[in-house]
Amino acid sequence: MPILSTLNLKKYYGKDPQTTVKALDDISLTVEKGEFVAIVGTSGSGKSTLLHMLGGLDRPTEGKVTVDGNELFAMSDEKLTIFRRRSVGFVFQSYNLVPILNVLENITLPIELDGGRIDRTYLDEVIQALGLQSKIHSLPSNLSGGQQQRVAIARALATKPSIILADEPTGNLDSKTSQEVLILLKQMSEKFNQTIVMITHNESIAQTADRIIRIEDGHIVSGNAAPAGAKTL
Amino acid sequence: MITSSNIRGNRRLFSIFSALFLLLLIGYTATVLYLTGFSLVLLQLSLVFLIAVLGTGALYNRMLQRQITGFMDTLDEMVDRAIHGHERLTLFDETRLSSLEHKLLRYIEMGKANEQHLAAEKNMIKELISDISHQTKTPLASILLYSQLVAETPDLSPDTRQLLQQIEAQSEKLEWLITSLIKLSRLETGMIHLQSEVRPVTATITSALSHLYTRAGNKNIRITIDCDPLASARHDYKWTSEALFNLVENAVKYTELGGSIRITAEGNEMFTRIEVADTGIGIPEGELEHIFKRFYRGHNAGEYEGIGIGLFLAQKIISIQGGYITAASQPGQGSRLTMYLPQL
Amino acid sequence: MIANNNRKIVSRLSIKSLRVSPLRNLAVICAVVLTTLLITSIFTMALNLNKSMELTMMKTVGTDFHGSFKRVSPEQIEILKQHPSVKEYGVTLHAGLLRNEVFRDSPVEVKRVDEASARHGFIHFIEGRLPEAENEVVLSTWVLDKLGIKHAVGERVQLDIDITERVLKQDFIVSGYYEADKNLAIAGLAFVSDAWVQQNLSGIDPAESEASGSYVNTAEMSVMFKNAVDIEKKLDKVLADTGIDRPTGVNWAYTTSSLSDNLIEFVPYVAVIFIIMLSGYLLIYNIFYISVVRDVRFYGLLKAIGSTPRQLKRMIRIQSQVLYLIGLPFGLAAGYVIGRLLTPMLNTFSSEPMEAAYSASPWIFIGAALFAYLTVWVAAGKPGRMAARIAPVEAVRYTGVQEKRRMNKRSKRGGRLHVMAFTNLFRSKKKLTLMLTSLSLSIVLFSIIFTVIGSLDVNKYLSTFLSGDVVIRNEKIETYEGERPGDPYKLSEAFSSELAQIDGVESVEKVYYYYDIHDMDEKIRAVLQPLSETEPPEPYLTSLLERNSVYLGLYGIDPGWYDLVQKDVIDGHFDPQKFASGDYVLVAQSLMWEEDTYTSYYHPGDIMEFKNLGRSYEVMAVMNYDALYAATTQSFSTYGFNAFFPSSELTRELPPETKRPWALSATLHIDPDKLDSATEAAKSLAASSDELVVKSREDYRQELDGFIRVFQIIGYGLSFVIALIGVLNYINTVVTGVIMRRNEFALLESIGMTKRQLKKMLIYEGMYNVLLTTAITSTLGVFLTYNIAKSIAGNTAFTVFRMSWLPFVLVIPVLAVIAYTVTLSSYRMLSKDTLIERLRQGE
Repeated sequence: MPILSTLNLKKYYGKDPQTTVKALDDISLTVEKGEFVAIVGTSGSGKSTLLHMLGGLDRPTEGKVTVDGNELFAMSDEKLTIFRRRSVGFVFQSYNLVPILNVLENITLPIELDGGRIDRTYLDEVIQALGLQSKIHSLPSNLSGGQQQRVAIARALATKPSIILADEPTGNLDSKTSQEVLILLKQMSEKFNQTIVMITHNESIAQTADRIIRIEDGHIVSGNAAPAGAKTL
Repeated sequence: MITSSNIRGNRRLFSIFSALFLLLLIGYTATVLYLTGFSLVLLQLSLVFLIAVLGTGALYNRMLQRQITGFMDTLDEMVDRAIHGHERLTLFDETRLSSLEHKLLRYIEMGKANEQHLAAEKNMIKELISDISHQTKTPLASILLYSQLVAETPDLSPDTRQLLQQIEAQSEKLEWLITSLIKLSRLETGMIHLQSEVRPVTATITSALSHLYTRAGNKNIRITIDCDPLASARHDYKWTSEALFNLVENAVKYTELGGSIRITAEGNEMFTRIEVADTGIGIPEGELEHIFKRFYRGHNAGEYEGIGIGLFLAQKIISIQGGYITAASQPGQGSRLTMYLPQL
Repeated sequence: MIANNNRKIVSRLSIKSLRVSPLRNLAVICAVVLTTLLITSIFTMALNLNKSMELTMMKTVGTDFHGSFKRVSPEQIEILKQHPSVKEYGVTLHAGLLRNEVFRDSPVEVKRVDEASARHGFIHFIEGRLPEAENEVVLSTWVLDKLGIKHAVGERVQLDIDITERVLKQDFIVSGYYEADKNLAIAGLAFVSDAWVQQNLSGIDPAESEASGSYVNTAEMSVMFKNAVDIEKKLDKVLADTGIDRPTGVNWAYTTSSLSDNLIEFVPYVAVIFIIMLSGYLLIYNIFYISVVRDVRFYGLLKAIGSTPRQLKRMIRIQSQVLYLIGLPFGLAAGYVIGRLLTPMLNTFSSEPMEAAYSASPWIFIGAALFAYLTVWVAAGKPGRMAARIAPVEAVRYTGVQEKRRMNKRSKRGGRLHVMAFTNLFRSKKKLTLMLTSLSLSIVLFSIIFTVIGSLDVNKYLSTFLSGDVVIRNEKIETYEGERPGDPYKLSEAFSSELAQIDGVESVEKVYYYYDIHDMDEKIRAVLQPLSETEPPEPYLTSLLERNSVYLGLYGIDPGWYDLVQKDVIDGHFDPQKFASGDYVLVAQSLMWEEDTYTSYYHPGDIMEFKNLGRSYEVMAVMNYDALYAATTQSFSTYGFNAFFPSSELTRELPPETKRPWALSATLHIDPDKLDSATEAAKSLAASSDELVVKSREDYRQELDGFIRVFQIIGYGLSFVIALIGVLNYINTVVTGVIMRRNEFALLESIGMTKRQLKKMLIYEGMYNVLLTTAITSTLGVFLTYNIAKSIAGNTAFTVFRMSWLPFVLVIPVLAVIAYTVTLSSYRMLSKDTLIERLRQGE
């Protein structure tokens, strides 16, 4: 059952037809629940833009994005934000953490925004697994890039969201830690039935995914094995 | 958290607040009356005011209560919808309810996923079992064949021949063991599909006994059948026959030479009874409840052949069909195993 | 149902984000303090003013009792005091008048008062107590001074008390004395004991003395109710309840003393407060705007993680509230202190002498806090909405606040710095106009105020009060609430000749005055009759028509005044020689009931009959209603007018029924070399009498200086504040602009523009701004300033319009300097990050 699907997604910049930049040019894809999808492509191919669309961070020029039966851009800004808060965990390439909160507060931020109770046992597990115990009261400015990334991953896992969208999450990590983080992600996703969509240029990581979608110049060139019956969304 | 002590606490709080409220009201009106001088009109007005305020307060309180019950009702409905997979009550609202609903649905979803995993695993096991059965058949057949071939070699010493016999016997036992185990696992994983229909049990009984006459004859055991030709039950012919076979086989096994086995079948109100009574060694009382367990062998049964799954299998087969098997015995005198099958 | 309890995290985020930018916090706090300060001081001053007026009124009335029952008997007093609505009461008995020679011009009443009356009558003993023994008396300090008695208890004093049937001469011992303002109350007071009253007045029947009008031995009971609302009704109710029928009196200090009577007076206050709030709003709005723009990524990230627009709006709101709460107490305290300090200055504005009273009403603080909160609330609102609408993708990709319109401008010479600068200016027309408007407005306002203040002219002011060097006026003649006791003839011929003999006095120009009840003639009727037919009929006019008379002020002026006549002439021509003949009259316009309407009943050439002068005159000219202001009593009767004759007409033999005209004033023209000595001499001459007041040019000048100083302080202060606000706004806009374009700058630098070139371009932009502003102010600004300032200055008595060019000249260098420094420092603030970091931020 598809948890994520896009239909004719387009993102154009600029009004003048000669100078328009087509970041996404008619992308339609589906992702099944529990799938681990890797998105690869050269720089500027539109990967990040696609990821942003999937998470409702940015509005497309045309097209629909449907997540778990909800059409994202038909929702109000308020509802979209709440959707993100509860159902999506983000890991960006950089600038993930709120600079004025310490590590622990950053991790629990989405939970607190929802006014929910914090599952300490689970969080401790995650923090342990990512090796952050000693740093939970530090401010982001006192952490290395790799540590910041791990905090971001912890935050993405904190609410046990249905979808995890990651943009080069292992970009700042050394290969050993990358592997560990990936294993952790896969474990979590299996345990909690999560879908992972990850942008990466690391081939070995991409290989561990269930499916690789390759994007070039705003088009999907391979990996879009959308089942025939997925036309109606 | 709402505990009983909390409820008491809340009630106390409520009474404190109402007392305070009342005090304030009365205090204020009294002061006003005092300051402006006593006048009947003012007194009446104050009384009306007091009553109005109290009334409004009570009304508001009632409304609040109603709101709380209403909220609990909504919560209830939300949970119901989640359990039965109906449409969600809220969709990304900035409310406690919505947050809760999302959490609940998420956990239900995870549970469902687990279910699916388990189902997938079960499928894998099914395949494993069929694989095993396939895979072992061949080597086993080869073992038997080769041992027979060796047995046909002329000029074999009696010792060798005895050894060969052992090999053959053990191989047969192995085969039988594997087949039983496969049957067992099939039963346990629910792979067996029984086709139950209402039919007379006579045929079933006859089929079950057909293989045993020889063996019974060897031990000089007399088998009598007393079956009501009209007695019928809803059962799977093949499997019930096998179960019955196990029962009778046990009876034959554990009865000495010259004993007798009597099989009766009759229909009752709801069940049809098929009873197998023997004059065998019997089962001690302490062991009666254990005989249907997997791989159970009675203390007395040590000399006899068997692994101890016959009764287990029989019980499984019958219970899947909605029936039951009971056992009664007198050690030294004989045992009586009764099979109940549903009539409809 | 049941809202999410995520308030805590939002508050926590708000407060933590406050800690990040202490500078911004300080700026907002200062803005809040400034706004609150200004509002509080205005409120304080207004309320203080109100209170002062109230107090002064009450002191004039003599008591702060709400009302009184007049001429009540002791039995009636017993009954009345029992009434439940009477919270406090005091009884005074009128004993008589002091007839000592020294009190001929300043009446002193003798009363017996009780402790309550003394308390409510502002009698605060410097020493001593109320009289008890028969020969004890309490006097005020000025009465003691007049009697030549030392200020001490136990002093012996001889008083002549007139109890109507006879005058009692008796020696008294001062049992106590108190401070009183001679000029405030209508009459002075002396207090005798009950014993004395028993001894001397018991024979007098109160009913008789009431009938005769002397009121000796009548008692008045003053009462205090719970509040000052509907005093008259309360008094009547008491009378009705007790069945007593006596005249009542209401303390008019309570009914006439509030500012709220005249709503028009409120308008300037409201306008000022509005301006303050507007400026505060602009400041705070700008600061928050910049802050939101600077922290776009932060808010974008929060939104991406899951903060709803509403939560982000709340964050900004909470930040503004916290800063408001921090700044509030300082603003309130400082504002109150400043308001209190400025109040005495305001008091000098009013025509009557006022004692400063201070109000510490909590409403000042509550009101100011509320208005300031309103300002902050509105100011933080729009930035809050902006933050709410930030697209979460901004966290990941920073290109500044999205510009909806991209200008595709193609130009051949695009690469030149100053051209780029010029184009940049017009990128956002809206912002440009807004900034220019705010800046120009401030400058124009500043210049208007500056010009008006610069136009303050002492001489013009002075000339409204006196034409010569020293003027001696007979104050007793100034009628406004009936006549004051005194000698209207004090300025006699003899006295005038004494004045003339003072060394240095070149001439003595006198003005004579006669209050004429003049019969209406056809000309007057012709004007007034139609007026009376309007609906609703104006009662005063109706009564005048019934009585068939109007009230005129007839003035006889000495030749020295003739020079001042011409400037007030509206119709006709003034010929001094003809006028001196005595056959002509100069008629001023009449003040009508409606404010600022004047009509003349007569035209040059008309013949007017003055019955009380015994002859008719020809109207030579019609003048302004306030013509020869310095010569008049400065009060004008409605529907009446002033008429001017040569003094000979009023000093000659007049019909027997006519009362003798009074000598109103004598203006001395003094040789400049002998100015001081002559002034001294005149002053000593006039010192002997109470009625005569000597005022020299110097005296007026000093008064005016004080007045001008106040005006200048307030005016310059206000204009400074306005200019400051305009400048701050400008700074804000520049800083915002630079910050928002930081990515663009980084880009430019990365493609090869050196730092120096970039700086140059920014400076060019700043200079263009200044140029544009100057263009506006020097054209439109000058035009507005000229017209507005001219109309203001032209309308007041003490300003002569003088265009001040200073502000416009100052604009250019000041703005230029500011633009230069601000642009540079904001750019420097940005370029602290390295180029890559700045570019990276935009990835």
